[in-house]
Amino acid sequence: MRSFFWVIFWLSFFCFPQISFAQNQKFSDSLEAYSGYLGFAEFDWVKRNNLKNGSFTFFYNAQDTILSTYTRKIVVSGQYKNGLKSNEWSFVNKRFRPTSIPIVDGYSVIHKSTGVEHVVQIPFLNGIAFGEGKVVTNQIENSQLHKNLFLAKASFDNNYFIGKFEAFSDSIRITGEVDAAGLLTNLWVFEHGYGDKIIEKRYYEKGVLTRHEILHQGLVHEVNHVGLSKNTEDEGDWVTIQADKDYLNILLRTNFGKKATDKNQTLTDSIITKSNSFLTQSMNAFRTFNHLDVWKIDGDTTQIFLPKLRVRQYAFSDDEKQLIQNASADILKSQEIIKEYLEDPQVELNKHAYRELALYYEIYTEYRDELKKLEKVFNLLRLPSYEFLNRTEIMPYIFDGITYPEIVKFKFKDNDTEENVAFPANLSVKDATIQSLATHAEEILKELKTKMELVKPIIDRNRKRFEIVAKEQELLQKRDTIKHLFSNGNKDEKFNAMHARFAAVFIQNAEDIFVNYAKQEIENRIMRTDETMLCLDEFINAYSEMIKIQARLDRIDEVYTRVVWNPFTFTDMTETVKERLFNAYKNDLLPYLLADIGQNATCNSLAIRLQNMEVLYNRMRDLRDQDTKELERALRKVRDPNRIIELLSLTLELS
Amino acid sequence: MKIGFVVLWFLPAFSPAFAQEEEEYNIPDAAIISDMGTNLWVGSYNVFRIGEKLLWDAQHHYRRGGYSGVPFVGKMDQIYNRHALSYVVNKTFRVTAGGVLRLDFPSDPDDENLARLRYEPRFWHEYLFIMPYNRFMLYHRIRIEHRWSKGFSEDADWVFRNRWRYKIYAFIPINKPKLEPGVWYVIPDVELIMQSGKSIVDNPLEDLRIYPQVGYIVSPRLKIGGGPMYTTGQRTGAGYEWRQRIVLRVNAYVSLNLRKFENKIPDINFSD
Repeated sequence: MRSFFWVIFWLSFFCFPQISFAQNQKFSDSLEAYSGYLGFAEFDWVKRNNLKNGSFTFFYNAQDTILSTYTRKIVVSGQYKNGLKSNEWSFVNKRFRPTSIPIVDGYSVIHKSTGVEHVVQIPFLNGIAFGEGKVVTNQIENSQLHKNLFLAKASFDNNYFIGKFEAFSDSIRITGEVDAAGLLTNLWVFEHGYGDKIIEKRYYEKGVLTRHEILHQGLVHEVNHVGLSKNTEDEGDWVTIQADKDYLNILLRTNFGKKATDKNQTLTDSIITKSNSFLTQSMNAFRTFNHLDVWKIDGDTTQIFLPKLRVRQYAFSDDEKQLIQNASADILKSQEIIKEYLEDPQVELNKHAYRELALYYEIYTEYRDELKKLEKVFNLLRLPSYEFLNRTEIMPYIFDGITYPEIVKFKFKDNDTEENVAFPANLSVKDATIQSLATHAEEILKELKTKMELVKPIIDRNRKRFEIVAKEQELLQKRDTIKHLFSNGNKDEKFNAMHARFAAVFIQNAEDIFVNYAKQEIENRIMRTDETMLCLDEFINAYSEMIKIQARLDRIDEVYTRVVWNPFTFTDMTETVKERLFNAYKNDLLPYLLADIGQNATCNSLAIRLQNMEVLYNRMRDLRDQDTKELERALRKVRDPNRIIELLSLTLELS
Repeated sequence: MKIGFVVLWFLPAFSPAFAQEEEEYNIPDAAIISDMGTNLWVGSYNVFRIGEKLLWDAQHHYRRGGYSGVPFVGKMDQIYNRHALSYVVNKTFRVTAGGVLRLDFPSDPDDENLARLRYEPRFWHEYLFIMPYNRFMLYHRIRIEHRWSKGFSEDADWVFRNRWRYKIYAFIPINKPKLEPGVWYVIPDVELIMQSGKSIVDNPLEDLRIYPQVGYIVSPRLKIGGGPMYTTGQRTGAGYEWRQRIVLRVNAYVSLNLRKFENKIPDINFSD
């Protein structure tokens, strides 16, 4: 009994690890760890809960998509514990090109290479970034580390940047601190350049920017961010936002402090822009690489958050949002009207002949310049960063005021001329609000529309006068074309009996139409050019229409004719089928409709009359295949075309 | 037979040399030309198309003659039934073969010694050659008939004869360039009928017919025509005597397509 117990004990002892081990599965196959990146992965996972558990490695190796001489490799490695990232994780991207002849190494052929290596390392605890992280970008030449291009170090807690932050590159160095709540705190220093250093200092208190300085050549320039609350004690709606592009733009947009006095304003802007850009890149380097979320592997949801800031919000009311939207649209429409006018060659040509055009050219130029000021303000107001700025404070810095002259001076026929013009009321900086600016934009649009109604007829008339020369040439050609076509000047083999029948009428009518047009005064001609052109086109189109119509009439003759072989004469004899119907068509209806075309060969009626022939053809084709006994009986002794039209149920346009 | 036919063709029966050889038969010195007889022939010519190239030819004639002072219609002459099948070889040649049953009535209806009716069966075959021209159609017709006839006397025996007929005629449209419905036409028509057989001694030329006809095409299926026909030929048993007739002829020509509808289209068109 005792020996049996020990047998069972030892069997159980040896089987336990095997049972336990059998739960873990090994994955070793191709895997699309990132969208569009199909590589090879090896990892352990637990079948029971389908969670990764153990070491994880992903390889991706492919020809570079930008430069085919480069080869790109991505290696991601780390540990999973029950599906959560654990311990040190690294993301390595290498983009190399061969720089040596192929070298046999063991059983491989290798090259010495040059390129860039980018490494991101972050420790994780239960799937959360926790500990010291690092990003390194190195330049490699001939398979040797040549130079460090970029280095960033940051501490993480609970997926947030917490504690010290450092980032270096050749031209800039950032140091700063993030408090336990994830808010930027204390001094953030941005050192630009090596020799003539420019040092930018941003002081933060619980995420609020309290002071901003730029030290250059021993001088301290304070950047006075107009409209941005820098006092944490200020009352208002304080909100927490991420240190992303929108926040950093706030700093740039409010940089008006030295505008009036500092000659290095451009330098200040470029320094702030450069600092913002490097800060964004450095922080994002821990999260992304070339738009790739480096820690979101194979469906993993790991997310690292940027540091936070606190800013005072000046939310736009619904009315203000609507006013901004309307004003932007009004400004755009006004600019289109002005552009159309100022760039119209007819205006440019005729402003020397028409006083109104010369005057309005100057007026529109005035509006154009003033609209630029309004456009600039509303473009800024539409930016997300402007929700965090005191608009009343900042308005004098973004709006220069609108002032119109009382007298517009312009040149007309080589004389300097003046005119009193009633512009909308001036808008001073003091009175500038979203409401007043939007109202002014609306007034300008209204004024422009009114003025356009005054000058448009002049422009149109002159445009037509200009165009009419070419069009009249075309009219003449069209008249001649009609003459040529219907007199068969081309010896066209498609010229048929119908053309011949109507030739005289059409040629005469086309001539009359042209002469009637030509007799008109220039103003009337301008009004009637297009209409006359269309009219002559009707006659030209009629020529090709008649080719079709004649073919159809011939076709009707064919379908209503039967060929019968006669055994007495040994000849084929033709006979008409549905003779009474065909005779009604041939002897009475067709001559009537052809005569109708001749009598109504006018601009408005010709096309419709030709269409009648199409209707007739279709009806006769239909009747050929129908039982027409009743119809033929009804047609007996009927010779009146109108009665025939009625009996044949034809819907024709007749006068 | 052919040589005999050709000889007969070229040797006019009324030549003096011929008359001298037949002296023992009391031949008169000159040919005798009979008085002009008168007849009326009413006929219907029917052709039914029964196949792509096959026609059924059916002709019916009603013939009367002058008698007892009544010209043209004084007595019944013949009733004539002719049936045959025609095969249209091509647009210029047709072959026909068939039978005829003619009902003959006595030349003197008042003579009670004569039988009232005799049947005359025939077998015949015909070869029609068609020559199309731009403005008219010309036809050559050779018809050969094998006939069995019997005289009207009580003791008359059956007599077998062959007829050799050649006819040349043309269809000429008058009011339009083509033969088509609504067209008036004329037909110049000449036919020579020769005969042979044991009983044919001195009368090989049975008939020479000159028939100028005028007609009208009502439709591809119906035309009508008629005209006076002059005929002359040697009398049986008295070859020196030439009988003459003026025959007024009125004919209707009917042609129908009896094929199934789907076979009618397209209509006949042999080689084009």
